[in-house]
Amino acid sequence: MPITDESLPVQARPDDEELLRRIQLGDIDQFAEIINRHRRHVTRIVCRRVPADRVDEVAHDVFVKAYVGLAQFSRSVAFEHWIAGIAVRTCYDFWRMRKREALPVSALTAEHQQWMDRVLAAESDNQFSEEARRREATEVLEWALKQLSPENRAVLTLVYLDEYSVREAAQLLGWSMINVKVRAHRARHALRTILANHHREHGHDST
Amino acid sequence: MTAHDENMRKLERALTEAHRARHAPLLGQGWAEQIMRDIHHARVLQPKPPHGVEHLVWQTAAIAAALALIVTVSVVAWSQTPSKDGIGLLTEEFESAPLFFE
Repeated sequence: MPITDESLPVQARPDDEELLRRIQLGDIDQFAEIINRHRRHVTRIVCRRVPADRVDEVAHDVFVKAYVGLAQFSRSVAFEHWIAGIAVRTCYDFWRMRKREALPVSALTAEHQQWMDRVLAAESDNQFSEEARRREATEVLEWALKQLSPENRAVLTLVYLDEYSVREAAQLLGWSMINVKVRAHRARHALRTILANHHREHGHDST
Repeated sequence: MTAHDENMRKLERALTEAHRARHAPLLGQGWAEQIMRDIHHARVLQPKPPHGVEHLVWQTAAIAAALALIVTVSVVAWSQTPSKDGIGLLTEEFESAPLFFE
């Protein structure tokens, strides 16, 4: 009888729980497997929150923080959820640090203005989605978000852009639900004001 | 809904789609290796967590010490009680019984 792959004993991959247990017993090289399993999940969160050229650095910090804080992981939630919270808070810290540097927000160019005009004039869903995928779209979003406080930015990204519930956002940020609710409302109002002011300044007001 | 509100809603929707369309950059193998190097370095700097054999040794020592204390206290208590009783009984014996048979 020929030996097939199916006839060979298959060694089951240890789950996260088992890997974390081994790491806590001192086998820290197992953390490489944790990185391998969760890197996509972490970079997906980080790339939506920090500039593209800083994603690797911030994602790196997320994993180091996860390792250092492993003793605090209570296992009441999945590891994936726990590390998502670290990723969200690390990105929030990134903007808090930048706020201290008080970097000026660059103005939008004519190219961005044209993009806005095309979005407002889009007649079909396809046309609209195509515009939303353009580089200018991300740049306008960054321009608007940079004008928000780090708190408003964090909560607006979670609740309105990622569509997490208030409860989930509160868990990820480690804030109270009422704080998230109030901030989300204020942050959306602030974003609308930024967009409306720009719109008005460029002679598009048609109320 | 005014035309202005409609425009704002459209812009918000476009920005939301732009946010979701962002793609994570591919991070090389060197990136993960650098994290592991930093973790090894962090471990050297950190005090060791109380896990594993060390933890077991300390736990066993604490339990053994507690047991030894309980046993010592019990032995002392047990060894004192009969002597008191013995003296009491002897005293009673002397009081109730005559010293010499008549």
